Amino acid sequence: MGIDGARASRIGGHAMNETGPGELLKYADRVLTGTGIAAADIRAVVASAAADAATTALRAGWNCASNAAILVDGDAR
Amino acid sequence: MSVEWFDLAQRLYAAEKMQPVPRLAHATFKPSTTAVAVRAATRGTTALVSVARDGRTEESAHDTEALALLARNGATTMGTAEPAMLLTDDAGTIPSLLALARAHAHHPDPDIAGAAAMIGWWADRADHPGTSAVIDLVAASSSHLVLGTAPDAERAARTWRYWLGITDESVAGLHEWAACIATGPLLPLLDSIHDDDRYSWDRTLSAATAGHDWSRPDNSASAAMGLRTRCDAADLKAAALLSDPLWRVRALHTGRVAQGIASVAAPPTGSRRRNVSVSVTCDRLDSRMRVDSAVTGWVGSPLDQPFERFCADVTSAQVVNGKLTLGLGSVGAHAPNDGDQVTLMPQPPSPATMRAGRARYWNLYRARRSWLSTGQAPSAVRREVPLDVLIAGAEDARDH
Repeated sequence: MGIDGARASRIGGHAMNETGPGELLKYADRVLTGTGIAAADIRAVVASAAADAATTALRAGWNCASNAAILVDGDAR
Repeated sequence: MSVEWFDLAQRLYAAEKMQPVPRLAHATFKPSTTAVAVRAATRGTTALVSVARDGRTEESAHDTEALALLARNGATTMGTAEPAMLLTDDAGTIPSLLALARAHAHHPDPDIAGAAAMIGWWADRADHPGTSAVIDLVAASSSHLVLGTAPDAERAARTWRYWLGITDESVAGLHEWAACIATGPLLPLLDSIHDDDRYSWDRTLSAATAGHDWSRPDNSASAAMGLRTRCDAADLKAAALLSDPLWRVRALHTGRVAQGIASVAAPPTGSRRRNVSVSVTCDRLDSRMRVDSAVTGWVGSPLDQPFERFCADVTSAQVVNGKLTLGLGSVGAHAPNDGDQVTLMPQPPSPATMRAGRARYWNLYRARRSWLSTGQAPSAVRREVPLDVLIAGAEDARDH
């Protein structure tokens, strides 16, 4: 599941209007300009076999984030 | 550099999971029992300071009363063996405190003067990356965690409070915030910076006992040393971050860390040399390692932390068939085998060597003959010159 508008709007709630996912998605669109990738498709992009620079970096960041909890609680301590 | 895409994916992951994502497996500071949470603001000529020790409620005061309040909370150089750690969430706090401290540096009340000197020490240490004396919680949180927000939002303290679930917005809540982000073992090399904090504190106490005025501008020797200690701390902090596996994975995308396949050549037959020659064909072209860079490496990925590491200098860097190849010259212990996947990163500086260098530098600056430390350029002195010196000088001039 990607970060669609409905899910994104729940993140942070009313207190996060200026700091929440709306701003993140706008930022993501800016960072991904020219890559042909949409922020909402991040899961599909990470799971794909594409090896272009943007996909490779996005996949590395996503996997690092998903493994971080394991690493932090595991042998790094 | 692809690091912006790397960071974006972490932000999107944090947004989807609705929780902060660790950037580091280590902590950048450890909570202290001496910590004092402080927020300060200047309105016109008046400074308002709010203070809270851990487990206590916030107290506020103005001007000299504020300095007395800090002293009552342990933030003083008078009669204190352990330095208080300053916690704040506002980048304007130190400048406001410093202006207040300078205005009352010579106050007859020793508590007020002691708190002013403490602020002077905080302001000095705050310039040293990795210090344990002053913790800007917004900056420390940004280096420890990634939020599911745009980067600009991370500069606001309330964004962090929201994501960390801290409901106490008073100064007392800063202790809870500090406990949230000071998790995991301390980054290894930060110990040395914290030792330097301690050394600096002891010097400050000695100077206060000897009656030195902390508010006087530095002389040229002290200013030069201050610049050097700040540079050393910055180098150590950068190296400390690279000792963290999560940071190393990210650093592949900034070019600070390189990954590739080793090619190993045995020493020529008949050579006395026993070490093999290693070159690494990197996965990426954007490595920042240059010829003469001292690097350390190991067999495995950036996430690995093996004891068996090799050290070498980069002897060549060239693009061959579209791939960056780093020549490492001769490698001794723990050299990789041909075809091994290896990770390379800059060799961390030695804190002991840095300290020895600073001691030598200080002695040079403190030498009576040094016009740099006296602040006066040497005046021209005329004297008789031996004939052979004149002839040698004439020979040099004719050769050129």
